Amino acid sequence: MKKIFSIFAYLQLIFYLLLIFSLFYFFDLSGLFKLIRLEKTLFSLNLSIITATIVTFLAVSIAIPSGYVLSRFNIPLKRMIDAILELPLIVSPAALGAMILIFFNTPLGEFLRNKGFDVTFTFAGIILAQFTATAGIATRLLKSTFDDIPKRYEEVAKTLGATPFNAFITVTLPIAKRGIYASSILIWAKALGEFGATITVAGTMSMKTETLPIAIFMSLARANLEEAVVLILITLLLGVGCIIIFTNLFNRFEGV
Amino acid sequence: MKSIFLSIFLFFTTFLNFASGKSNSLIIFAGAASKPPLEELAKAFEKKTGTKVELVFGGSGFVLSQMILTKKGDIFFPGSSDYMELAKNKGVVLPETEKKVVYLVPAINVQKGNPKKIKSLKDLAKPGIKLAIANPEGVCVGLYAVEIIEKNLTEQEKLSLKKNIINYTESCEKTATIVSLKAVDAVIGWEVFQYWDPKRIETIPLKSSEIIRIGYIPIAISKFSKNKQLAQYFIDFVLSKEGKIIFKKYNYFMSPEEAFKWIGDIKPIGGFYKLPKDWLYIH
Amino acid sequence: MLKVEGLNYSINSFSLKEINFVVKDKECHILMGPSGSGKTTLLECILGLKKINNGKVILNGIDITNKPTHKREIAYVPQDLGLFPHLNVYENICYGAKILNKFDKDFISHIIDAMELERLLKKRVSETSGGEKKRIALARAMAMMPAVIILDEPLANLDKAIAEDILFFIKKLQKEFDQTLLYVTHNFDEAFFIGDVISVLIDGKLIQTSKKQELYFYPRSLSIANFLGIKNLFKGILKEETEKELLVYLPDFLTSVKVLKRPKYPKFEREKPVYVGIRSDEVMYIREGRKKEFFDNILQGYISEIYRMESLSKIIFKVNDIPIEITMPYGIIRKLNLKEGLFGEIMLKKESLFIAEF
Repeated sequence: MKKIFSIFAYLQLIFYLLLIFSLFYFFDLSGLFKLIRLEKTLFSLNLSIITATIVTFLAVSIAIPSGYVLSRFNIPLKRMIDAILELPLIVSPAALGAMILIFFNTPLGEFLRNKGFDVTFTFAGIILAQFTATAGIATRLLKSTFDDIPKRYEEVAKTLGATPFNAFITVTLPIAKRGIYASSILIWAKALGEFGATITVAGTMSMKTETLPIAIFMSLARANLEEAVVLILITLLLGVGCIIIFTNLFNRFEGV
Repeated sequence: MKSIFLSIFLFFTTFLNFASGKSNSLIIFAGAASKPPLEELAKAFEKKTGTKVELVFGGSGFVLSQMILTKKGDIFFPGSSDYMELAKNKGVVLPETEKKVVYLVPAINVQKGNPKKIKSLKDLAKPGIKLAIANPEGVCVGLYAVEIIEKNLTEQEKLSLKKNIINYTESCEKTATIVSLKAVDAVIGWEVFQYWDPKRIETIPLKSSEIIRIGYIPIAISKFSKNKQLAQYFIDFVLSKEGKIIFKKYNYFMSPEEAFKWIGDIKPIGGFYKLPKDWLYIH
Repeated sequence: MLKVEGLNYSINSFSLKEINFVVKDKECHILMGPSGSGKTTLLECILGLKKINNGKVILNGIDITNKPTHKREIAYVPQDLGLFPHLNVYENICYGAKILNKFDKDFISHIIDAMELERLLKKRVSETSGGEKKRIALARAMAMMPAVIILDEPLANLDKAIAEDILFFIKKLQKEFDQTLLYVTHNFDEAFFIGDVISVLIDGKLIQTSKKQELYFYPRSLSIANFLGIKNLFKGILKEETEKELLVYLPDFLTSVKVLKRPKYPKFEREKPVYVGIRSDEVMYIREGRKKEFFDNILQGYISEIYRMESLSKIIFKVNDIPIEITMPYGIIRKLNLKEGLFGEIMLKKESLFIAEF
């Protein structure tokens, strides 16, 4: 049975490797060097990393308490919250971006805009777009993580004198560490690759809001396939590299 | 067991059939802005000749990429001339088949009702105006906008105006949509934008002296076409009286003369303008 | 002292009804009952992990009914122990003591010594054996110096040898530290070994609380009797009551028997239907030729079956065709030359009979 099931795993590997190696068909080495040194490429790379990191931090910070309460308690409107967290998954990112823009057209949105909260076409807009696309998922992931930790630990901690909050901090969170970390990496990757909402809300200005995925799209929009290929490879290297680094960092930290 | 194999076999043959493309149909890669008129045209053509017309819409550059990668397509119909130049450079269209279909005049587009009371190009330099143009590096109407700004405003006015630019949109259509969504107060786009969303967009004409050149929407046969004769028929149809009537419905300028009449002066059609380096990025 | 007064709790189709009992200081109080009777639920109510509908829980004179769990200072050793995987053994043990500011290094060393955990302190919990884990959990509970420690089936899932070991450690805890224990089990060998007082919970009701001897010999309900494995239970009708005795008519045997009253028996109504029972090892087979003047409750019948077994052999004795189970060592069966089919007499001592009215 192991052999047969492994085939499915290997099929996936082959499939994606095929797509990746196909990139080299359009690959142009000199183009690579030219592009890498281009200021705007470095900017896009930097921008993508920074925004993904900020968004991950924000999303996970909100997701930890949210996921915990949804995992442990039956708060009012729980079902509605559960359902609405599905939203970013169902509605396409572009639609999410459109919803954000439309919101800023409503009286409340206008009010915020006048107060200086106009995030469209700004760095803050990227954060908002990526956050909207990932927060719901982050909460679901963390709810899952907490679901897997038996309530028993918290119960015993409480009998030993820990307030519910103290039990959460000293017992639940440390046990959840690995799950939180794994979820964060997933969210970071998703934020890094976020395109539809970002392009709609923050636009495509080089050296301002052009993240890596947007840069790739812009290359295609200019029919510059060689540039697109190079940017895709950069993104892949970035993604894979970071995931390897983060995973190793965690293991070293935890003395695994 | 036998029935499973049979159905798989049938599935693949049908699939391959569709994939190979019947010789009695056309595939057109077109800029999204042309969707309404082109859809009507396609229907009319189908009715007239019985030929099925498949339309692939998207950003002009994007569908060009698709055409190149899929090696499919009979006609390329981008939203502006610069993409046709790009296609010609890449050798994916037959340059001798290129025709100009309709003409585009640059203008200022504002939110319906013109809440910021913009009346002229200079008004765009006023502080507090939120302005956008299409990305001049990639989109024709953006390049034209830069030329207009460079050749008509003083250094001071240019600086002020540049400060007001909060976004470079990535396509022609986006330049119009951004006004509909009220994300900006004004854009420099095509005069025809107001017909794309009459409820939300209003066109403020530029002074005739301010306009440097006018644009056009070109059409050409793709080198990948398997039925060049049929493709030619379509292009002829587009340029025929019937075709022109359909385009006219959508308020395009059908001839240079119509455009010149509206501007009040004669202007070069298309042509080349080199983008100054300092316009490459917004700061 | 832990007092539970009129505790009521219900959820879905299950409820705890009017639970009343007291755990005295230094007592090992057993909470016994079949699976599903609500023992764990009752524990959770006492600990504050579940909210009760009404009633009171009072610890050392203080009403803790509305106090949150972390303020109750009742230690809990659940069946699955709940040892923290992210802390080592020593950190686990000190957890409660540290939080409650009751960290006494010497006291904790003493506990570690008593539980024989010195060599394991730096290990992760996952690296310890089943028996070691139980001792760690016990130490952790002790370390917070609780008024009461609640143990939920502490010997579950242990090999017999290790279970005996742990039982010994628990007894040690009780003796050496004078620790009050509330101990839940469904195994009565365990209960009778370690407990002082036993409360029996059946279907959400506390049927009986007695010292273990009392429960063993005089269960007050049919369900407890069944639970204790008592086979000889007969329907009866109460006929008369004197100062010291009760006269019960047993229709099965067409005769009445005298039952000695127990101090805790209530006043019974005449003609009240009750059950009369006796432990199989208390039924006396009357040797042929034995003088019977001072014997009460003599029944005549015959030996239907004899089962020879390891410790106590079993005789099924039929009176009026109703079987009565007698257990006795095989040696005595041989000595008295008892055989299947033999006619004879048995005596149900009045001080061995009990009344079960529930």
